[in-house]
Amino acid sequence: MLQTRNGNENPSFDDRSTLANAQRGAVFVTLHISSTGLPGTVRVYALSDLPTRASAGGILSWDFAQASYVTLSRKFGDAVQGQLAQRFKGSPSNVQTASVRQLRTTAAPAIAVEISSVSVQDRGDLDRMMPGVADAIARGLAAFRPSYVLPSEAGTQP
Amino acid sequence: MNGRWRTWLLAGLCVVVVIAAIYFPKLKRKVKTSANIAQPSEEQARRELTTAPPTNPSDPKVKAKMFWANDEDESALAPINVDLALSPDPVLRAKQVLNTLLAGPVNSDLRTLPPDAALLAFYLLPDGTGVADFSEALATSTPSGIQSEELAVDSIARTLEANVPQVKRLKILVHGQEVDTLAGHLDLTQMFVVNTKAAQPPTLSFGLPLKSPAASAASVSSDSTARSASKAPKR
Repeated sequence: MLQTRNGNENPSFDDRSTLANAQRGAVFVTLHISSTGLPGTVRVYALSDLPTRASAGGILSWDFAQASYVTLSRKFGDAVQGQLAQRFKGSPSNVQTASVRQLRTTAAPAIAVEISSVSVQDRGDLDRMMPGVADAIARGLAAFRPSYVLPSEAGTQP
Repeated sequence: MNGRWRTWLLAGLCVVVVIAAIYFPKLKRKVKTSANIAQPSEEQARRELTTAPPTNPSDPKVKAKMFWANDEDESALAPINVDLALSPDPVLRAKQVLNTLLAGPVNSDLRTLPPDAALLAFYLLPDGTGVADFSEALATSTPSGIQSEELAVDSIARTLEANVPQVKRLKILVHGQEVDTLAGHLDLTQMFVVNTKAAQPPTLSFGLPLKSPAASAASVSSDSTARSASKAPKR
Protein backbone atom coordinates (compact mmCIF):
# COMPACT_ATOMS: atom_id res chain seq x y z
CA MET A 1 0.00 0.00 0.00
CA LEU A 2 1.29 3.43 -0.96
CA GLN A 3 0.08 6.69 0.52
CA THR A 4 0.12 9.82 -1.60
CA ARG A 5 0.78 11.89 1.48
CA ASN A 6 2.30 10.96 4.81
CA GLY A 7 2.17 14.23 6.66
CA ASN A 8 0.96 17.75 6.32
CA GLU A 9 2.28 18.20 2.80
CA ASN A 10 -0.16 18.93 0.04
CA PRO A 11 0.80 17.27 -3.23
CA SER A 12 -1.09 18.38 -6.32
CA PHE A 13 -3.74 16.24 -7.97
CA ASP A 14 -1.28 15.38 -10.71
CA ASP A 15 1.47 14.51 -8.20
CA ARG A 16 -0.87 12.02 -6.55
CA SER A 17 -1.94 10.57 -9.88
CA THR A 18 1.71 10.27 -10.91
CA LEU A 19 2.38 8.07 -7.92
CA ALA A 20 -0.74 5.97 -8.51
CA ASN A 21 -0.24 5.64 -12.26
CA ALA A 22 3.26 4.29 -11.78
CA GLN A 23 1.81 1.18 -10.10
CA ARG A 24 0.62 -1.81 -12.05
CA GLY A 25 -2.56 -3.58 -11.05
CA ALA A 26 -3.27 -1.10 -8.29
CA VAL A 27 -6.52 0.43 -7.11
CA PHE A 28 -6.81 4.02 -5.94
CA VAL A 29 -8.84 5.15 -2.94
CA THR A 30 -9.07 8.78 -1.93
CA LEU A 31 -10.50 9.43 1.54
CA HIS A 32 -12.40 12.55 2.54
CA ILE A 33 -14.45 13.88 5.38
CA SER A 34 -17.38 15.97 4.19
CA SER A 35 -18.65 19.27 5.52
CA THR A 36 -22.26 18.22 5.11
CA GLY A 37 -24.41 15.12 5.05
CA LEU A 38 -25.94 12.83 7.61
CA PRO A 39 -23.30 12.25 10.31
CA GLY A 40 -22.25 8.64 10.60
CA THR A 41 -22.81 7.80 6.94
CA VAL A 42 -20.26 7.09 4.23
CA ARG A 43 -20.57 7.60 0.48
CA VAL A 44 -18.44 6.19 -2.29
CA TYR A 45 -17.98 8.09 -5.54
CA ALA A 46 -16.68 7.02 -8.91
CA LEU A 47 -16.24 9.19 -11.96
CA SER A 48 -19.01 9.53 -14.51
CA ASP A 49 -18.32 8.67 -18.13
CA LEU A 50 -15.26 10.10 -19.83
CA PRO A 51 -14.45 9.90 -23.51
CA THR A 52 -11.53 7.68 -24.39
CA ARG A 53 -9.20 9.98 -26.27
CA ALA A 54 -6.10 8.20 -27.40
CA SER A 55 -3.29 9.93 -29.18
CA ALA A 56 -2.02 8.71 -32.55
CA GLY A 57 0.36 6.43 -30.73
CA GLY A 58 -2.46 4.89 -28.72
CA ILE A 59 -1.36 6.57 -25.54
CA LEU A 60 -4.23 7.62 -23.31
CA SER A 61 -4.40 11.31 -22.58
CA TRP A 62 -3.32 12.19 -19.05
CA ASP A 63 -6.44 14.32 -18.61
CA PHE A 64 -8.65 11.30 -19.34
CA ALA A 65 -6.54 8.61 -17.72
CA GLN A 66 -9.57 7.28 -15.87
CA ALA A 67 -11.56 6.77 -19.07
CA SER A 68 -10.60 3.12 -19.54
CA TYR A 69 -11.30 2.33 -15.91
CA VAL A 70 -14.71 3.92 -15.38
CA THR A 71 -16.61 0.62 -15.46
CA LEU A 72 -14.12 -1.09 -13.17
CA SER A 73 -14.18 1.88 -10.81
CA ARG A 74 -17.95 1.69 -10.51
CA LYS A 75 -17.79 -2.04 -9.87
CA PHE A 76 -15.15 -1.45 -7.20
CA GLY A 77 -17.21 1.39 -5.77
CA ASP A 78 -20.35 -0.74 -5.60
CA ALA A 79 -18.45 -3.47 -3.78
CA VAL A 80 -17.12 -1.03 -1.18
CA GLN A 81 -20.37 0.92 -0.83
CA GLY A 82 -22.28 -2.32 -0.26
CA GLN A 83 -19.97 -3.14 2.64
CA LEU A 84 -20.24 0.37 4.04
CA ALA A 85 -24.04 0.33 3.87
CA GLN A 86 -24.06 -2.72 6.13
CA ARG A 87 -21.92 -0.98 8.74
CA PHE A 88 -23.19 2.58 8.60
CA LYS A 89 -26.97 2.91 8.54
CA GLY A 90 -28.26 5.60 6.23
CA SER A 91 -25.41 5.19 3.79
CA PRO A 92 -26.40 4.59 0.17
CA SER A 93 -26.21 1.05 -1.11
CA ASN A 94 -24.71 1.95 -4.48
CA VAL A 95 -21.75 3.95 -5.65
CA GLN A 96 -22.51 7.55 -6.68
CA THR A 97 -21.05 9.26 -9.69
CA ALA A 98 -19.47 12.69 -9.41
CA SER A 99 -16.80 14.67 -11.21
CA VAL A 100 -14.15 14.24 -8.57
CA ARG A 101 -11.03 15.94 -9.92
CA GLN A 102 -8.58 13.53 -8.35
CA LEU A 103 -10.13 10.51 -10.03
CA ARG A 104 -9.98 11.91 -13.59
CA THR A 105 -6.22 11.59 -14.02
CA THR A 106 -5.89 8.23 -12.29
CA ALA A 107 -5.22 5.22 -14.50
CA ALA A 108 -6.60 2.54 -12.19
CA PRO A 109 -9.92 1.57 -10.67
CA ALA A 110 -10.41 4.64 -8.51
CA ILE A 111 -12.96 5.68 -5.92
CA ALA A 112 -13.45 8.52 -3.47
CA VAL A 113 -14.79 7.62 -0.03
CA GLU A 114 -16.42 10.50 1.83
CA ILE A 115 -17.29 10.22 5.50
CA SER A 116 -19.96 12.50 7.00
CA SER A 117 -19.08 14.81 8.53
CA VAL A 118 -16.91 17.44 10.17
CA SER A 119 -20.07 18.72 11.88
CA VAL A 120 -20.05 15.90 14.44
CA GLN A 121 -19.85 17.30 17.96
CA ASP A 122 -17.31 14.79 19.13
CA ARG A 123 -14.35 14.12 16.88
CA GLY A 124 -14.14 10.71 18.52
CA ASP A 125 -17.30 9.76 16.61
CA LEU A 126 -15.33 10.03 13.38
CA ASP A 127 -12.37 8.17 14.82
CA ARG A 128 -14.63 5.31 15.85
CA MET A 129 -15.86 5.03 12.25
CA MET A 130 -12.38 4.50 10.83
CA PRO A 131 -11.91 0.77 11.56
CA GLY A 132 -15.31 0.06 9.98
CA VAL A 133 -14.46 2.14 6.93
CA ALA A 134 -11.09 0.44 6.53
CA ASP A 135 -12.65 -3.01 6.93
CA ALA A 136 -15.35 -2.19 4.37
CA ILE A 137 -12.77 -1.01 1.85
CA ALA A 138 -10.66 -4.14 2.37
CA ARG A 139 -13.65 -6.47 2.01
CA GLY A 140 -14.96 -4.54 -0.96
CA LEU A 141 -11.56 -4.79 -2.61
CA ALA A 142 -11.44 -8.53 -1.96
CA ALA A 143 -14.87 -8.93 -3.56
CA PHE A 144 -13.86 -6.77 -6.52
CA ARG A 145 -10.47 -8.37 -7.19
CA PRO A 146 -11.65 -11.33 -9.33
CA SER A 147 -13.27 -8.92 -11.77
CA TYR A 148 -10.22 -6.67 -12.04
CA VAL A 149 -8.92 -7.36 -15.51
CA LEU A 150 -6.44 -4.82 -16.82
CA PRO A 151 -8.14 -2.97 -19.69
CA SER A 152 -5.15 -3.13 -22.03
CA GLU A 153 -4.52 -6.83 -21.58
CA ALA A 154 -7.80 -8.71 -21.48
CA GLY A 155 -7.58 -11.79 -19.34
CA THR A 156 -4.67 -10.48 -17.34
CA GLN A 157 -5.42 -10.06 -13.69
CA PRO A 158 -3.30 -7.99 -11.38
CA MET B 1 -1.70 100.84 3.07
CA ASN B 2 -0.09 98.30 5.36
CA GLY B 3 -2.43 99.26 8.17
CA ARG B 4 -5.50 98.86 5.93
CA TRP B 5 -4.29 95.43 4.75
CA ARG B 6 -3.75 94.36 8.31
CA THR B 7 -7.29 95.40 9.18
CA TRP B 8 -8.77 93.49 6.23
CA LEU B 9 -6.67 90.45 7.05
CA LEU B 10 -7.80 90.47 10.69
CA ALA B 11 -11.40 90.93 9.62
CA GLY B 12 -11.10 88.02 7.17
CA LEU B 13 -9.59 85.79 9.81
CA CYS B 14 -12.36 86.68 12.22
CA VAL B 15 -14.96 85.72 9.62
CA VAL B 16 -13.21 82.39 9.01
CA VAL B 17 -13.09 81.68 12.75
CA VAL B 18 -16.79 82.46 13.11
CA ILE B 19 -17.70 80.22 10.15
CA ALA B 20 -15.49 77.42 11.52
CA ALA B 21 -17.10 77.75 14.94
CA ILE B 22 -20.54 77.35 13.38
CA TYR B 23 -19.56 74.56 10.99
CA PHE B 24 -17.33 72.49 13.32
CA PRO B 25 -20.12 70.94 15.44
CA LYS B 26 -22.01 69.99 12.27
CA LEU B 27 -18.89 68.42 10.78
CA LYS B 28 -18.32 66.49 14.00
CA ARG B 29 -21.86 65.09 13.87
CA LYS B 30 -21.40 64.08 10.22
CA VAL B 31 -18.16 62.23 10.97
CA LYS B 32 -19.83 60.39 13.85
CA THR B 33 -22.77 59.39 11.64
CA SER B 34 -20.47 58.18 8.85
CA ALA B 35 -18.49 56.08 11.30
CA ASN B 36 -21.66 54.36 12.44
CA ILE B 37 -22.60 53.28 8.92
CA ALA B 38 -21.18 49.79 8.33
CA GLN B 39 -19.02 49.59 5.25
CA PRO B 40 -20.38 47.01 2.82
CA SER B 41 -18.08 44.12 2.19
CA GLU B 42 -16.35 43.79 -1.15
CA GLU B 43 -18.70 40.97 -2.09
CA GLN B 44 -21.78 42.96 -1.09
CA ALA B 45 -20.61 45.93 -3.08
CA ARG B 46 -19.89 43.72 -6.07
CA ARG B 47 -23.27 42.07 -5.81
CA GLU B 48 -24.97 45.48 -5.76
CA LEU B 49 -23.14 46.36 -8.95
CA THR B 50 -23.78 43.08 -10.67
CA THR B 51 -27.29 42.13 -9.69
CA ALA B 52 -29.64 41.31 -12.49
CA PRO B 53 -31.16 44.26 -14.25
CA PRO B 54 -34.49 45.36 -12.81
CA THR B 55 -37.36 43.34 -14.05
CA ASN B 56 -39.50 44.85 -16.71
CA PRO B 57 -43.08 45.18 -15.44
CA SER B 58 -44.30 44.08 -18.84
CA ASP B 59 -42.42 40.76 -18.53
CA PRO B 60 -44.85 37.98 -17.76
CA LYS B 61 -44.76 36.67 -14.21
CA VAL B 62 -44.05 32.98 -14.23
CA LYS B 63 -43.49 30.34 -11.62
CA ALA B 64 -39.73 29.89 -11.81
CA LYS B 65 -38.39 26.61 -10.44
CA MET B 66 -35.49 27.16 -8.10
CA PHE B 67 -33.53 24.13 -6.95
CA TRP B 68 -32.49 24.42 -3.34
CA ALA B 69 -31.75 21.65 -0.85
CA ASN B 70 -34.56 19.32 0.09
CA ASP B 71 -35.63 19.95 3.68
CA GLU B 72 -36.21 16.24 4.23
CA ASP B 73 -32.90 15.14 2.75
CA GLU B 74 -30.16 17.74 2.63
CA SER B 75 -28.19 15.63 0.19
CA ALA B 76 -30.89 16.08 -2.45
CA LEU B 77 -32.40 19.02 -4.29
CA ALA B 78 -36.04 19.98 -4.45
CA PRO B 79 -37.72 22.52 -6.73
CA ILE B 80 -39.43 25.50 -5.17
CA ASN B 81 -41.71 27.65 -7.29
CA VAL B 82 -41.00 31.36 -7.07
CA ASP B 83 -43.10 33.99 -8.86
CA LEU B 84 -40.69 35.99 -11.00
CA ALA B 85 -41.16 38.39 -13.88
CA LEU B 86 -38.66 36.74 -16.19
CA SER B 87 -37.25 38.40 -19.25
CA PRO B 88 -37.68 36.61 -22.59
CA ASP B 89 -33.99 37.32 -23.27
CA PRO B 90 -32.14 34.14 -22.23
CA VAL B 91 -29.10 35.95 -20.84
CA LEU B 92 -31.16 38.31 -18.68
CA ARG B 93 -33.39 35.41 -17.71
CA ALA B 94 -30.38 33.32 -16.66
CA LYS B 95 -29.06 36.22 -14.59
CA GLN B 96 -32.45 36.68 -12.93
CA VAL B 97 -32.83 33.04 -11.93
CA LEU B 98 -29.21 32.65 -10.81
CA ASN B 99 -29.41 35.78 -8.69
CA THR B 100 -32.61 34.45 -7.14
CA LEU B 101 -30.87 31.14 -6.51
CA LEU B 102 -27.95 32.98 -4.88
CA ALA B 103 -30.32 35.05 -2.74
CA GLY B 104 -31.46 31.75 -1.26
CA PRO B 105 -34.76 30.32 -0.02
CA VAL B 106 -36.79 31.58 2.91
CA ASN B 107 -35.29 28.82 5.01
CA SER B 108 -31.61 29.67 4.81
CA ASP B 109 -30.66 26.15 5.93
CA LEU B 110 -31.68 24.99 2.47
CA ARG B 111 -29.19 27.20 0.64
CA THR B 112 -26.97 25.45 -1.86
CA LEU B 113 -24.71 28.42 -2.61
CA PRO B 114 -22.86 30.65 -0.15
CA PRO B 115 -24.68 33.88 0.75
CA ASP B 116 -21.72 36.08 -0.08
CA ALA B 117 -21.25 34.66 -3.58
CA ALA B 118 -22.28 36.84 -6.50
CA LEU B 119 -22.88 36.27 -10.18
CA LEU B 120 -20.44 38.55 -11.97
CA ALA B 121 -21.48 37.78 -15.53
CA PHE B 122 -23.39 35.36 -17.66
CA TYR B 123 -22.73 34.72 -21.34
CA LEU B 124 -24.61 32.54 -23.77
CA LEU B 125 -22.69 31.30 -26.78
CA PRO B 126 -24.46 30.53 -30.06
CA ASP B 127 -24.09 26.77 -29.51
CA GLY B 128 -26.07 26.92 -26.25
CA THR B 129 -23.08 26.99 -23.92
CA GLY B 130 -23.80 29.16 -20.91
CA VAL B 131 -20.80 30.63 -19.13
CA ALA B 132 -21.52 31.68 -15.56
CA ASP B 133 -18.85 33.76 -13.89
CA PHE B 134 -19.13 33.85 -10.11
CA SER B 135 -17.22 35.80 -7.50
CA GLU B 136 -14.45 34.12 -5.54
CA ALA B 137 -16.79 33.51 -2.62
CA LEU B 138 -18.33 30.65 -4.58
CA ALA B 139 -15.04 28.78 -4.28
CA THR B 140 -13.97 30.01 -0.86
CA SER B 141 -17.31 29.76 0.96
CA THR B 142 -18.88 26.62 -0.49
CA PRO B 143 -18.49 23.89 2.15
CA SER B 144 -15.67 21.64 1.04
CA GLY B 145 -16.70 18.11 0.17
CA ILE B 146 -17.83 16.08 -2.81
CA GLN B 147 -21.47 16.04 -1.74
CA SER B 148 -21.78 19.76 -0.96
CA GLU B 149 -19.88 20.83 -4.08
CA GLU B 150 -21.95 18.53 -6.28
CA LEU B 151 -25.13 19.92 -4.75
CA ALA B 152 -24.00 23.49 -5.45
CA VAL B 153 -23.27 22.82 -9.12
CA ASP B 154 -26.41 20.72 -9.51
CA SER B 155 -28.58 23.50 -8.14
CA ILE B 156 -27.15 25.93 -10.69
CA ALA B 157 -27.46 23.50 -13.60
CA ARG B 158 -30.96 22.34 -12.76
CA THR B 159 -32.27 25.85 -12.12
CA LEU B 160 -30.99 26.88 -15.55
CA GLU B 161 -32.42 23.72 -17.10
CA ALA B 162 -35.85 24.44 -15.64
CA ASN B 163 -36.02 28.12 -16.55
CA VAL B 164 -33.72 28.88 -19.46
CA PRO B 165 -34.18 26.21 -22.13
CA GLN B 166 -31.66 27.92 -24.44
CA VAL B 167 -28.84 26.93 -22.10
CA LYS B 168 -27.72 23.44 -23.04
CA ARG B 169 -24.44 23.19 -21.20
CA LEU B 170 -22.72 25.15 -18.51
CA LYS B 171 -19.20 26.31 -17.85
CA ILE B 172 -18.49 27.76 -14.43
CA LEU B 173 -15.78 30.38 -13.98
CA VAL B 174 -14.61 31.94 -10.76
CA HIS B 175 -13.69 35.60 -11.05
CA GLY B 176 -13.28 35.22 -14.80
CA GLN B 177 -10.89 32.30 -14.54
CA GLU B 178 -11.19 28.58 -15.07
CA VAL B 179 -10.44 26.83 -11.80
CA ASP B 180 -9.46 23.23 -11.14
CA THR B 181 -12.11 22.50 -8.54
CA LEU B 182 -15.00 24.24 -6.82
CA ALA B 183 -13.77 23.80 -3.25
CA GLY B 184 -11.12 21.12 -3.55
CA HIS B 185 -13.07 18.21 -4.98
CA LEU B 186 -15.51 18.82 -7.83
CA ASP B 187 -13.89 19.23 -11.24
CA LEU B 188 -14.72 22.62 -12.76
CA THR B 189 -12.44 22.28 -15.77
CA GLN B 190 -15.26 20.58 -17.60
CA MET B 191 -18.65 21.66 -18.85
CA PHE B 192 -21.87 20.40 -17.30
CA VAL B 193 -24.85 19.30 -19.33
CA VAL B 194 -27.82 21.49 -18.47
CA ASN B 195 -30.46 20.49 -20.94
CA THR B 196 -30.00 16.76 -21.26
CA LYS B 197 -32.45 16.46 -24.16
CA ALA B 198 -31.03 19.23 -26.31
CA ALA B 199 -27.34 19.09 -25.49
CA GLN B 200 -25.08 18.17 -28.36
CA PRO B 201 -21.30 18.11 -28.35
CA PRO B 202 -20.25 21.75 -28.09
CA THR B 203 -18.57 23.54 -30.94
CA LEU B 204 -16.49 25.42 -28.41
CA SER B 205 -14.36 22.99 -26.51
CA PHE B 206 -12.72 23.77 -23.24
CA GLY B 207 -10.73 20.62 -23.74
CA LEU B 208 -12.70 18.48 -21.37
CA PRO B 209 -15.82 16.42 -21.71
CA LEU B 210 -19.35 17.20 -20.83
CA LYS B 211 -20.63 16.05 -17.50
CA SER B 212 -24.24 15.88 -16.57
CA PRO B 213 -24.67 16.68 -12.90
CA ALA B 214 -28.38 16.11 -12.96
CA ALA B 215 -28.02 12.90 -14.85
CA SER B 216 -25.23 11.42 -12.78
CA ALA B 217 -25.77 7.79 -13.48
CA ALA B 218 -26.55 6.45 -10.08
CA SER B 219 -28.39 9.41 -8.83
CA VAL B 220 -31.86 9.73 -10.23
CA SER B 221 -34.66 8.92 -7.90
CA SER B 222 -38.05 7.92 -9.15
CA ASP B 223 -39.48 11.19 -7.89
CA SER B 224 -38.65 13.67 -10.58
CA THR B 225 -39.29 16.55 -8.24
CA ALA B 226 -36.65 15.48 -5.81
CA ARG B 227 -33.81 13.98 -7.74
CA SER B 228 -30.27 14.80 -6.95
CA ALA B 229 -26.89 13.98 -8.35
CA SER B 230 -25.85 12.67 -5.02
CA LYS B 231 -28.94 10.75 -4.08
CA ALA B 232 -28.58 7.02 -4.07
CA PRO B 233 -30.95 4.87 -6.04
CA LYS B 234 -32.97 2.38 -4.08
CA ARG B 235 -32.27 -1.22 -4.72
